[in-house]
Amino acid sequence: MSGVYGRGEKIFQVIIHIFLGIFAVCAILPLIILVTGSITSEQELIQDGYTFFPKSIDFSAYKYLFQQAGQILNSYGITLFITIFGTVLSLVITPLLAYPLSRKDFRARNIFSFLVFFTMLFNGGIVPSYIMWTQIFHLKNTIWSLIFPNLLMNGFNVVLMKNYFAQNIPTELIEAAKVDGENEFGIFFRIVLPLALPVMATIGLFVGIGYWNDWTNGLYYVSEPELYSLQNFLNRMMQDIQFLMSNSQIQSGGQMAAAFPSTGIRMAISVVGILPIVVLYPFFQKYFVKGITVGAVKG
Amino acid sequence: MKLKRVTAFCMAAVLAGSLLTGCSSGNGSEASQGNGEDGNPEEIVFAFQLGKTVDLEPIEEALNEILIPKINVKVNLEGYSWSNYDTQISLMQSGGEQIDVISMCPNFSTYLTNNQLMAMDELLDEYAPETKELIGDEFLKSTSKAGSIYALPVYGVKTDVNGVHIRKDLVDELNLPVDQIKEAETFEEYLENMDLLTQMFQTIHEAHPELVLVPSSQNPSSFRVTEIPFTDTLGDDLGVLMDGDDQNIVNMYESEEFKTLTEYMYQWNQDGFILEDAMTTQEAADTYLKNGRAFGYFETGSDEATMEAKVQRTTGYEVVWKKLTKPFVTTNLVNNSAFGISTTSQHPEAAMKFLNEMYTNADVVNILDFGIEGVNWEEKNDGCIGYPDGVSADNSTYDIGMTWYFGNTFLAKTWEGDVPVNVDEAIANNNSARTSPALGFTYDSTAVSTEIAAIGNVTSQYLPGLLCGFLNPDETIPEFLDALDSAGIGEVIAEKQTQYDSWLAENK
Amino acid sequence: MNQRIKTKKRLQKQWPFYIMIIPGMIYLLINNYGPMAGIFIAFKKIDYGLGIFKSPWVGLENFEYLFKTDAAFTMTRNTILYNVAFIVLGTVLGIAVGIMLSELRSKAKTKFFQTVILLPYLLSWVICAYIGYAFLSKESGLLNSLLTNLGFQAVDWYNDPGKWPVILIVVNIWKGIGYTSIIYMSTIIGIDKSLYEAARVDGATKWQEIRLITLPLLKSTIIMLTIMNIGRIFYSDFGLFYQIPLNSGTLYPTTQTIDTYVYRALMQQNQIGMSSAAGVYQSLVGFILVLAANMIVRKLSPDDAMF
Repeated sequence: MSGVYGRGEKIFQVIIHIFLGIFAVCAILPLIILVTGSITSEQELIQDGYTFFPKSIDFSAYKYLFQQAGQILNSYGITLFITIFGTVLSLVITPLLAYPLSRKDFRARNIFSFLVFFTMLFNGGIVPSYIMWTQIFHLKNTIWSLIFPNLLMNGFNVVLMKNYFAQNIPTELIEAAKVDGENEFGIFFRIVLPLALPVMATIGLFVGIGYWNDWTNGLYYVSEPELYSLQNFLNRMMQDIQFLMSNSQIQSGGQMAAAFPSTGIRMAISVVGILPIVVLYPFFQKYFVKGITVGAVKG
Repeated sequence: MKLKRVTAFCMAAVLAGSLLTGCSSGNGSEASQGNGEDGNPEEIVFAFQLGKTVDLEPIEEALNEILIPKINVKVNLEGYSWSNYDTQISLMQSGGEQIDVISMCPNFSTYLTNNQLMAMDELLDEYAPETKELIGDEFLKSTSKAGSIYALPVYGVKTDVNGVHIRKDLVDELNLPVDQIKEAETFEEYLENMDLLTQMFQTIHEAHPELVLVPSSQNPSSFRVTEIPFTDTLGDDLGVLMDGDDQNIVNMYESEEFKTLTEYMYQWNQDGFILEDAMTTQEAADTYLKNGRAFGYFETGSDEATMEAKVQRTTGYEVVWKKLTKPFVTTNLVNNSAFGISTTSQHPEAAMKFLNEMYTNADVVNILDFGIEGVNWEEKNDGCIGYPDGVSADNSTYDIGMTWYFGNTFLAKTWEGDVPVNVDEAIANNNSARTSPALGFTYDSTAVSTEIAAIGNVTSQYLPGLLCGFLNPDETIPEFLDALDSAGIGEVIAEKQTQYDSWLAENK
Repeated sequence: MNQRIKTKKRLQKQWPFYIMIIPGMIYLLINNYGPMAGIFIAFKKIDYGLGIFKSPWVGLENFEYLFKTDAAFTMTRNTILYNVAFIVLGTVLGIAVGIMLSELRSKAKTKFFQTVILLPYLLSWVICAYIGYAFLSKESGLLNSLLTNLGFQAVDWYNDPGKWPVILIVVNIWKGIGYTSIIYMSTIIGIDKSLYEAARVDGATKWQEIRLITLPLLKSTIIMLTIMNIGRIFYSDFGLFYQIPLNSGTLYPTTQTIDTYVYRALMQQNQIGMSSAAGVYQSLVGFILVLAANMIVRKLSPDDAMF
């Protein structure tokens, strides 16, 4: 971009800063409530309600969590492993599927595109999936059960990537490479992939968040605490609290509920759940932005 | 290229095929592992609900140290999340995964309806006569259908009634006439209690407007004031037997009694006694008591001292807990929590032997309840148990708080600070309590599952507001009844009546 | 002869494509197509004693509860209207934020705003519900303490169905905007920069650049995302519609959707046949609508059709 900006450009910049500022404030205020909620004393929450400026700061919610530090650390390890492994694997198979579908000279692309798209509309539900993954692939209570079911690749990401390839990889470039004697694999790895970094970074981000936040696989396929991912561990607690509080027929519900952590602790739990992403995200984003700028260099 | 496409489709077909065969063969293959005959212990899987992240392996080992020498059964414990439990069990059963002993809380009748449970009469006679004797025919009827027993109800106190907690300092300060609350034997007496409560709440409200009454949780049905005494809800509130009529099943929501009780709630709410966020709060009622926002709440229980001690321990406040009615034993109360054998079980005998231990062997019950002696608990003075040195509620590796859950609850040891259960007295109370004329009747909702599905949405729309007093009964009840009618409550009641009539004919 | 050589040559050209798609197609085959075989469960009454394959067929009985009462109308209307609102607002705001993010001139700022706007996407719905409660609770909520401090009447948010369409739309945008804007942003950033240079030389204003270059190039992404959303128009985000209103009964007229209805209907029943029926119904409607939408797109702009 040139260094000279007109007056219109300046006004434009001011306007987008204002808008983005508003969006950012809207995004962050509720999160501040989450953090202050987790460090406000239970008594103040109950008697005076929520506030941005608690009268007294109370870390007992975090102390409560610290007692489970062993489990939480182990769960972090599981989460980190599945996130990294799953994302990398996904970034191998997704573009490999998406790229041929974007090539107009791939004759079967319509059929396969439809097959990919169809998976977004229909699914068999949890029962057949569960039977397949546990009875044929024997994934129950293994770490693979946190990686393979559902999360590895989805039609949406394939279509997104295919769309990007179709739009942003000029056909002439591919033709030129062919003339130079590159085969299809060479074209894909040496020409297409480097140009696809923005979309790779985007899909990687989505898949990574998917793995980080997933707890349903763990809920169905894992019953051993050493395999609990962080979100699985946290969500079990949350879902059980909610279930027991709203299920009328469990006679001893009151007895169970008595042992449940209060809202402040539940908020602390979720802070613990997203904090690592907030810390790690900027590092990841370095590559993300780099990917984007590399993609933009060619013109 | 055509060829490739064909190959792809073939692969899909093969895969789908292997899916089908995989499941059917899965059923058979697992039977081979370990059978009691050749000396290896038979392995069974025991699935139950578990709300805490706990490593069950040491517990399993401790149990097997007892079980293998005694009955030659090795048990695998699998604790599943409360919120997902029923789904998980049906997944395991439909997938052919091994599962032998199932806990049910509180959906016994659903399991029965879906044919998830094995009839256990012969097994019970052969492998668990003591347990059968212990629970008794009267209670076993609640887990029976057409003369066959399908599950064992948890053996314990069955005389839980609705009661009210009120902070003791307020009772003393304002001289509240709590002793005038009586264990009602009729609806009229119950209404006298309601009037008395209204007066007391008024007094508290005037002296301490900052204090409110809290439902026991977000869930309206545990706001049990509106439970009509001596009415058997027959499992799901849809079609009930009212006090004084043991023949005709009626719509409880149409009754004068229901209306009267919701009017109390509405009045209490109008007068400002009830927590404004009662319907949506995410906190348990005792959290409000603990933090000085509530003067009391309703909770079911059977023993004053136990209830008062429990609340004092969790909230730090001394309270008075008063029963509002006499006990009334219904099918639902008995089978609310029960254990059965999966229809898919390949080891029903071993499963039954294990169940027998859970009802008769105090060591087994105490391991399940409290964990391992010396690690999770140790004997203290006066026959109580408590944490060993260096262990506390914060770092205990078990401590699941489910003494009311496993098998024979009378075999559980008493935790320090709890009030010991007088077993003889409790059993005597169980036996002397008034019972519902429909005790032992369970109904199969299969024929009306469409209607029940629609009704589920109607009740969750109207009931919470009525039961917490946020909706005016005069306006809302007619609307509610219309919605119930169009959802098909008539068919449900008719179906229940048919089944009840034939049950009556069989059992009279 | 000639024909055969041609075919052979074509195959030679095509085979690398087939190799590339193998891992992905195998995964879809296993993960998605395998379980689809289980759709038959929707037409059975499952009897666990017999196993799912031998359970009796019940025809369309499992579908009946979806159409049983007036609730059928309310939930279908709500599901569709909310989805339309989400598609329109989500697209417009997603593009707007995407463009704004890509126009920022400092990398640090892009980084900052992008991270912050994406944060809500990382929270689970249960937690969002707690946050919502912190704002909307009648006696301890922030909004009511603000209102009363300003001298207004406190509002009973969880008992006022009229306010919920706005609340739910705001919450959905709040949570999802980071995600959609990143999709658009990555497409915008991939746009050939020389196009903008050329436009600037011609004296185009910023607004003209956006209108004449960016938006037309986003067209196919917009069409693609919209078609995909149409396919899910009978689905609703269970977390949003169940957790955020805290299951408050009085709000059903404006918060009940097909997914929440199904959940509440089957809570006590555990009928996998009936829940599977709901999925089949939702998918089928989505499928038909997508085919229609794709046909229209194929007529108007063949390059942008999905298949």
